[in-house]
Amino acid sequence: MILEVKGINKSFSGKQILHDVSFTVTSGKAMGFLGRNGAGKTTTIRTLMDVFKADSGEFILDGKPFVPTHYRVGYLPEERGLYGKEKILDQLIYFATLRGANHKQAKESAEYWIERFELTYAKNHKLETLSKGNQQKIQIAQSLLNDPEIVILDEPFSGLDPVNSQILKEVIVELIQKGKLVIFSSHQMNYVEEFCDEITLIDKGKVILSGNLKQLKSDMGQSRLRLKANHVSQNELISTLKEHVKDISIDYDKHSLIIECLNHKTKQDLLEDIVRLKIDVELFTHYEPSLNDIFVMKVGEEHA
Amino acid sequence: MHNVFKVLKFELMSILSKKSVQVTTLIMCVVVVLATSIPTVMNFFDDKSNSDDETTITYEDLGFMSKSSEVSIDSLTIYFGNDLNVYTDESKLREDVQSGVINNGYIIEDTQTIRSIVQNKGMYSSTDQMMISILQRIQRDKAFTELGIDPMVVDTLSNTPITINEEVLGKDAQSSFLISYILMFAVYMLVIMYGSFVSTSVAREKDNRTMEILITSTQPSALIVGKVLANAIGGLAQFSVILAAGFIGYFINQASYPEFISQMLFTGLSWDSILIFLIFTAIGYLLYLFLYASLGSLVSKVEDVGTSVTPITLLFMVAYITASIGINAPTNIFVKIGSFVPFVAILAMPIRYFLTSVPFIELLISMVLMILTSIGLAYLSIKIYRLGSLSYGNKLGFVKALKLIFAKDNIDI
Repeated sequence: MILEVKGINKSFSGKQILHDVSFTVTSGKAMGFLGRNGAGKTTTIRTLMDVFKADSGEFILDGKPFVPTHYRVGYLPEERGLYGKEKILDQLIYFATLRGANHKQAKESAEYWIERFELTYAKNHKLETLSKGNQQKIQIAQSLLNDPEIVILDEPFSGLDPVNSQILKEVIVELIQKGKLVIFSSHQMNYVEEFCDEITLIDKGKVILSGNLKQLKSDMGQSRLRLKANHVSQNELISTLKEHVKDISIDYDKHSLIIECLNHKTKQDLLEDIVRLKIDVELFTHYEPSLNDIFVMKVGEEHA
Repeated sequence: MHNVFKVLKFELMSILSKKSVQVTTLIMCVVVVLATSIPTVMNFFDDKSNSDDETTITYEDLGFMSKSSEVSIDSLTIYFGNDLNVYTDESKLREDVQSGVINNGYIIEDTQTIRSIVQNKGMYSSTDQMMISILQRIQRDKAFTELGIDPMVVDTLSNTPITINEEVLGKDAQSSFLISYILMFAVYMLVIMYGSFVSTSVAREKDNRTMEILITSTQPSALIVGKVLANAIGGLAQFSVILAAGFIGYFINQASYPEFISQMLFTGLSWDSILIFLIFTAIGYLLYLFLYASLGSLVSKVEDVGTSVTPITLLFMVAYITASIGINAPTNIFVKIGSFVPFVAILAMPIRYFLTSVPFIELLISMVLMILTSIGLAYLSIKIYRLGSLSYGNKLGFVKALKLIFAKDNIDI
């Protein structure tokens, strides 16, 4: 399945929140919808789920207008909420039946996810008796009931501890392996980096970057290299390079220097300079920006 | 439609499994059974006190003294028996009242004046009234005797039994009065209690943020209709149990009830009036519940429900007052008009039907108007509920909500 989000605009009380938001999601590939708080992720997802109507634009699934109720869609809203005073199993069965399952299927599905999230002991407890993190897991479980074809998770990692985040990551990877169409939003880049195939970055209601993460990393890391030396501090190394090597720009992070070759200078040229200067190389490799770096870079560009 | 049933089932189970609902029902049943047992309890105590002085009624705690030559103490023995506490000395009488030997001393000054001496006066004294009657009677008898008429003959004549054979062609307002009042109060309780349950239940989902999951899982119409029906059924179920407790209590204690109460309870009930009552109550009940659902949808927090639904309570008070007027004056034009106003007809029309004759066409018109209003309100409550998903946080005004709904029809239901 291919879901195309095309030119979505949305205003509230005359203030435009979304500006021509467009991106594509393919089933079997994890799509991370990333942005800062208030960037427009939730509004985009809500218009996709038909909670709000978009002012203009369209959602196309496999060439046809996307109507959420025509598909098995699992949805985790950003505003978390379930019935605090109802038993966990009962309410999950209720949500599953509302989405078309019969009671038997609903019960099986609910019990599967309760077990998967290691909460079988609490299935007959009222939701409000669980800790916040465990309530969050039940909320995620509700979005996975009935074997959905499309899974839309708005900030699924917020509120989860590292162990539970890992469980959720595994679940998402599993969904993707099963060929589901998965969209999840997050503002925590490090959480999603390792298993995102595709990303869409949104800032102030505008998509600022969308595409394959590996490709983006490679494109943005092109002509940059990491360099680290033994027995010399970063500052000394920077001074040495600045003094003796031309056509480079030097940056650094906590791991190493990040050197960009300018004016057609090649990696080979730089390597020769390093050999010439007799630098005791600890690390010399191509530079691949982290998702966080990409995000900071792109948002910075937008704001510049 | 299938989902309406699912929502109904879930909500109904949720209502019935609530401990508060179960406990309230139990307490109400106990209270009702106890209330219906009051006549039995009263009879029990009456029987006890009566058994003490079954043979002759004595007035040991009364003292009498006559200063009038026209009223002899002997004439009082006819009414108070032979063992009268007779005093000749007023100060002795006062002393005995003060020391508690007697409770009440009567000093007959002349044929028209009695002085009553009492230590502590209660709310009501039957002997005061009795003394007045006795003196009046003594005077009357004396006057008749002077005119040569035997007072006994006068008594016999004035007590000639007269029979009225009444033939009521329409309705008997007298016999339906009590049952009308009871049913009106029952409907009042039903609407006010379960109405607020509905609005709370609707607001709850916005409060706990379940709404977004729900409206993306099924149609808002299924949610609202299912919810309203669940609360309606839950309310009726609880109410029926309490009513059944009332009937059981009544039948257990039936023997202790005065004849006229039993008559008033059941002679006013006919199958057609029960049917009319049930139809109007059912439609009106749903009408009000949808209204409660509409206003419940306007708020985002459960604690705001109370203020939001106040206008309905006021509206229902109008219906209640109209029906109260109807009980005393069922042909009043105000009541007649009210029986066609959907919000008022729920009480006014059954009351009119109980107490007077109402043409079928009037019943039909009123019923159709109520049904149409209920459908309109159901539609409105669904729209407002859907609209509510767009306005988290703020309380939406009813008028503003209407404007939004009718301004641009961008809400799918």
